[in-house]
Amino acid sequence: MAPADPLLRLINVTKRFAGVGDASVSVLAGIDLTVERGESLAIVGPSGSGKSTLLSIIGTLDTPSSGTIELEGRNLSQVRGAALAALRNRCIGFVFQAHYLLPQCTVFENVLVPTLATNNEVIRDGAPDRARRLLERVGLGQRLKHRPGQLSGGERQRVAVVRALINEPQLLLADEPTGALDRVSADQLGQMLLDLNRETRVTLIVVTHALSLAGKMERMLELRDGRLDRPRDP
Amino acid sequence: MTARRLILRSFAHHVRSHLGALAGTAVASAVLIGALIVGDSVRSSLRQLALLRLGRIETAMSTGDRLCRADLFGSGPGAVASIQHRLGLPSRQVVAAPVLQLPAIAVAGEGAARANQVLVHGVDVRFWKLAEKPFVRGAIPPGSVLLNQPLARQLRVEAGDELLLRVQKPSALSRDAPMATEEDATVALRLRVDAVLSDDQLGRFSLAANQTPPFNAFVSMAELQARVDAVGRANLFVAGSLDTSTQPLPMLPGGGFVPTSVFTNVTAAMNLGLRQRWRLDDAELELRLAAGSRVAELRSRRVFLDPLLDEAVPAILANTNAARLMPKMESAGLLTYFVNELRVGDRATPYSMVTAAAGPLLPGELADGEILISRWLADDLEAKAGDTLTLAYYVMGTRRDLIEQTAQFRIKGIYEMNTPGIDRSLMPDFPGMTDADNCRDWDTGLPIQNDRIRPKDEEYWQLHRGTPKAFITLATGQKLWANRFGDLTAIRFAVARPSGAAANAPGGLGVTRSSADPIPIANLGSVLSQGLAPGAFGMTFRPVRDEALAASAHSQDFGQLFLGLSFFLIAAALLLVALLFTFGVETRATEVGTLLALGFRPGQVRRLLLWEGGLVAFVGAILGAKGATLYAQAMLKGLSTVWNQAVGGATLSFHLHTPTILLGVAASILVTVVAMWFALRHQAAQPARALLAGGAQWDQDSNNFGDPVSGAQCPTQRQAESPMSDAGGSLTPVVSRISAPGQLQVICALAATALALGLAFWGWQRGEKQSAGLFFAAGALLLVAGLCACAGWLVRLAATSAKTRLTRSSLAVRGATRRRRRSLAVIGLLASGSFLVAAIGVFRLDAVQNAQQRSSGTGGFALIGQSTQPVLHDLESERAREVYGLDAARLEGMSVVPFRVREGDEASCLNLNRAQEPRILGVAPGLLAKRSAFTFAQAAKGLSRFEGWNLLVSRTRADSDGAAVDGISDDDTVPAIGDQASVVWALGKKVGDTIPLVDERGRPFRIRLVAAVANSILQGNLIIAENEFVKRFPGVAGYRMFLIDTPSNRIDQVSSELTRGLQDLGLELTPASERLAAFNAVQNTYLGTFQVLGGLGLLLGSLGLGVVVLRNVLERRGEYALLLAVGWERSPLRRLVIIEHGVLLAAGLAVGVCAAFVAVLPSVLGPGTEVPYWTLAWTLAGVLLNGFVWTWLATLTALRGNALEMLRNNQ
Repeated sequence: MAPADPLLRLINVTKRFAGVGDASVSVLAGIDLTVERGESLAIVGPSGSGKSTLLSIIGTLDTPSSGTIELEGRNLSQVRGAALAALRNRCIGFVFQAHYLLPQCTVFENVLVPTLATNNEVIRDGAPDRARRLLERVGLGQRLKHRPGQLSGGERQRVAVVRALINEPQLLLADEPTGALDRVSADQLGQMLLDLNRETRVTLIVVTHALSLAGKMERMLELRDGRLDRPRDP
Repeated sequence: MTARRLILRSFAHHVRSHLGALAGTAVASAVLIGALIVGDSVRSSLRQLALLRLGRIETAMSTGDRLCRADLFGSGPGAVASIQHRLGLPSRQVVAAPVLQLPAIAVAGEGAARANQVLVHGVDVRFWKLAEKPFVRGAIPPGSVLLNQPLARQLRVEAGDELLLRVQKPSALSRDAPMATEEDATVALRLRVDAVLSDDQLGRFSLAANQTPPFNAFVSMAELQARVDAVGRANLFVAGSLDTSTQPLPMLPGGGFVPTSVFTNVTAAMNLGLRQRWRLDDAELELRLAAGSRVAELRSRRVFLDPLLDEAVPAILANTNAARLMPKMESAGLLTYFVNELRVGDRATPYSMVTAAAGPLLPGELADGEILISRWLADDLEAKAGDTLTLAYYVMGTRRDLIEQTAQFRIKGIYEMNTPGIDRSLMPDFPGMTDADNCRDWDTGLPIQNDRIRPKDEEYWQLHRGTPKAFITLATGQKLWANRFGDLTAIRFAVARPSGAAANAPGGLGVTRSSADPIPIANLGSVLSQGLAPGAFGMTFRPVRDEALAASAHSQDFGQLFLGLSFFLIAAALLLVALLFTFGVETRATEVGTLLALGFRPGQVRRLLLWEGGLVAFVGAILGAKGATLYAQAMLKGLSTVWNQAVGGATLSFHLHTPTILLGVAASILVTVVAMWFALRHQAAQPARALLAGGAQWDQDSNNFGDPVSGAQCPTQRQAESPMSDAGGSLTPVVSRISAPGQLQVICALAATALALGLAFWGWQRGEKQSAGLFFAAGALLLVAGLCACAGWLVRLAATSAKTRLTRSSLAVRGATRRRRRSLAVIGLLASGSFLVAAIGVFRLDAVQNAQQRSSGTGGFALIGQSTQPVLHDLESERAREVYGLDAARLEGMSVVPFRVREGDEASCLNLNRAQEPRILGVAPGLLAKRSAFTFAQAAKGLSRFEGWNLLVSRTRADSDGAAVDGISDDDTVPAIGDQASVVWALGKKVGDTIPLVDERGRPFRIRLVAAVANSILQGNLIIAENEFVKRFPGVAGYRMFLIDTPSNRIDQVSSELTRGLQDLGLELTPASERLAAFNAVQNTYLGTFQVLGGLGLLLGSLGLGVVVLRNVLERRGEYALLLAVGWERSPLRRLVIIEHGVLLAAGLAVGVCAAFVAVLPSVLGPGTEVPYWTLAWTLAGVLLNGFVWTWLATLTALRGNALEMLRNNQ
């Protein structure tokens, strides 16, 4: 049986930002990365190394200066506008360090917000059931009608995770998901992510400082000098 | 979860941040809806005034100078009811009231108070039934008069006071006609004021669509009829329905009903009734027996028979004969004329009657060019058959110029004095002659030299009166003596001769008829009155109520006008809304970023925000609707007081209509949402990552999305530069090729400046009044240039490197580049507002400037006058000086252009109603053409405006096939010229259009607007050539409007002399420049209103500046806290903020004022023009101060608290 095509492939991806005058700052200096379906990958690195930039590029929130990104075999540089937004809506789930829940909506409503961006009736019809199931799964089954202001930090982040999964994406990106949590909540959230990865086979890429979380992933890479490599020994 | 729920949740959650936008929306809505309410109120006020002036009157028939029987419709309501009953119409209580309406002048207080243009109405009790609130006593006591309020105020009288009314006596024979006497043209009534009528007592009664009430006086009809020798006669009939049973009538504020036309066929019923009940007497025709009862004669008190009878009577007889309704009749017309002399050789007979007759009426065979003379004449002239006889007679030229003409005839034969049918009855009843006992008592309008009258002439008169001394053929007579009043003085009828007799043989009608049958005169009269339509004599009822309502419904649209005047205020409010709404959205940057990250498209996010904004707009519009009533009431108060000149003195009341409110709310929501959409265009266009980065410090205008952590540039710009996105393309590479920052804006500024200078130069070269528009356009372009320059300056400043020396002031100014779009919006608003407020004054019209020039709006005339009674003589003639007692020496150098006047609706800016039947003036075009008076703004297609007044001369042009094309006129189309404002605004027409009218005899014709003059004292009227005027309105005698030339140092002298001499005719003279100023005041008032409302918009704009300041400072509290933390004191920090925003204020006002200065340059440099420097200075100073105050308050508010608190709050 031929091996399945990788879900995600980055080929010589670079990213530069404008500096003072004509000088530019190179953040990513040629990233080559292949991520298989269902894989869990942690990206670590010092602060300012470009981890969040890399995740943003993978999540189509940013564009590379050069290089190719393929998601399910599609070259993302050729996808623009509405198609790109649809792809992000259907195929990618994003969890940020700050939960970015809408304070005016309940937990249940926050989870369902991504379904409003699509016209796919199948997705929208099944979303409420999926939302309840997932919230139950993460232990928030009794907090559906609560507002974000009534939840703890960890609970809010769990809601954000469920929101990221509501459209059953293939890829879940988490940018420092535990960065704002206390240790206990961080461990719980990290474990939850791994469990969801195993249960749903959603490909998980996590950017984190927390080596404890990174160590639990199937693979760990370090972003150093603009390139991805195996992590150095501490 | 649905999008609707998300929107509602978001709206509820962020309602506090929406409060500012809500307030701005409420202001914009209040002004917008308020303007519409003003329009409704004006329209409703005019409608109310129209209904007030008519009361319950629905239909009216004015017979002009023709007096009908006052009891034409019976003496009680039953007569009209019977009409309805016979016509099978539903029974209604319809009242028809006769009125004798005559022009007059009023004098009170021994001449201390005077009123011209008074209308005296002789009425009876029936008239008051048609008032909403009838006059209590019903009948007016003899010797008493009721006045309306305006007349009572003018005369400064009240009940019990005495006054004098000088009333024009109606004359059967037009005073312009030959033989018409001038004596006894008015009668003086000394009366006591019985009461002053209120408006709902028909005090405002008038058939003209004008909101200005006339001067009305009401007297007893019987008394007036007796005093003016018109017993039992009336010249106006009004009718209306009193039935209120079918539906409730709405109440007027303060009581009284607004009558509605519950019976829409009153007009039709009255016309049918008229047709059935009218008699020959009502057309002032009389059928009587002559020549011993064998001949009937149709004649008129008006002397000349209406021309329509020439053909109508034979046609009626033919039909009657065919129907065998009575013995077969035949008819023939005759024209008897007063001649100065009949001469054969050196013998002459003075002052005699000569009859021109058709064959049957002639005493013998006659051909054109031949004459039959009486035995008496033959003896007097010692003439015989074959001799040549010369007739000398007068014809009437214009302005009652008598022109003596002669005609020669060959004497065909002599008839005996006792020839049957030739008697005194052949002479019509010439006023002043018929009843005279002797020749020397003749009192006609013709000059009679008494010394020419011989004793034998007196004897003739005693024996034979006006028996004609000679006969000519009718054709010849009509050729010599036909005039606009008619070409027959009688038509005679007789029973037809037995078959075989020649139809036109002499002696047919009343001449040598030995066995003629007696005339069935009653039958004949009935046949004639049934066969003739009253409409042919101009007698027809018009639906005056419907016309009045139409005039008010199509009045000047004050709703649109005030929308235009308020547009800057609305624009300022909407800009404020957009700013505040944008601010609110910007605080939700992370929310927007989240939605984008979740896969929402930018358009979807904007739509969600826009729906939320729509809710804000809806609530704001509802609140604004409440405020709109206050705004409208304030505007109406202004229109009734300080802006009263714009509405011709009308009193306007507040009226609210629900559909208008709903429309206004919808429009407010729409424009607010559009403003928000404009503001949201760039929202959600930023990358999600930047939005999620805790509110990135982006500057949208430079596309420099700086990540505060990495300092890296926004990917959006880089995307445009990267190979991956080159395929998409963007403007950025093109823009970047222009290279230097701000260079594009500078290029635009230079281009606009160059255009502006070009326009200004062109305007300066033209040196005409129209250059005002060019200079305004130049100023507008300079405004654009200034704004482009400011934009470029901001861009360049933002790109300035740190190499320049940094000072506190430069730091402050640099701060203005942080939010360039906001900064530019504020500059633009302030610049536009100050430009408009200052520059709009360039369009003020000045009546005084160049008033003496022919090309000006005064036509170069010094005085314009109008009289109540007609002036029959040429004011420059000797005869006029004699008749009116004028001192020639005091009038030296004066020349006059007289106009005939046919009253109608005033078609000027002073009349808010749409003129239905405009006032028509008749003038000899040459009098204006030779002066090249007035400037022509436009001519109809195919015509040249340089032909000027000669365009009034009727002519038809034909194409190669002979068809009339672009013809100035045909038989039914009369060319007319009007003032451009009258044509466009008052009539709602354009040059080239035609207007259907009906002439005095009920015949429809059209007026074609062949040209328009620019901004003149002729506003309110349409002018046609005098010959066309007298053809259509022959009954209008004399002249009632005058344009007077006089040397500038004699204006007062001429004015006082003419006023004195013609005071009994009610002449009122006004300096032409003053009249023009009254018309100009309308436009100037509108401009003043615009400046006031624009000033309010400017103040609102400076409030916007305060909001921007507050917002900017709050966003940068952390930075300011840092400055405090590193040692800055609070006071210099405040100065930093104030300087930063003061620069925007100063830049905005400077750009606007400089641009405005160019716009008003012609006014500044032109002679005699007053530029309201102080008003403008105070306005701009107010704006500057207001802006500074808001800036200072915002700064204080934002910078309160200590540094640490500010640092914490910023987190």
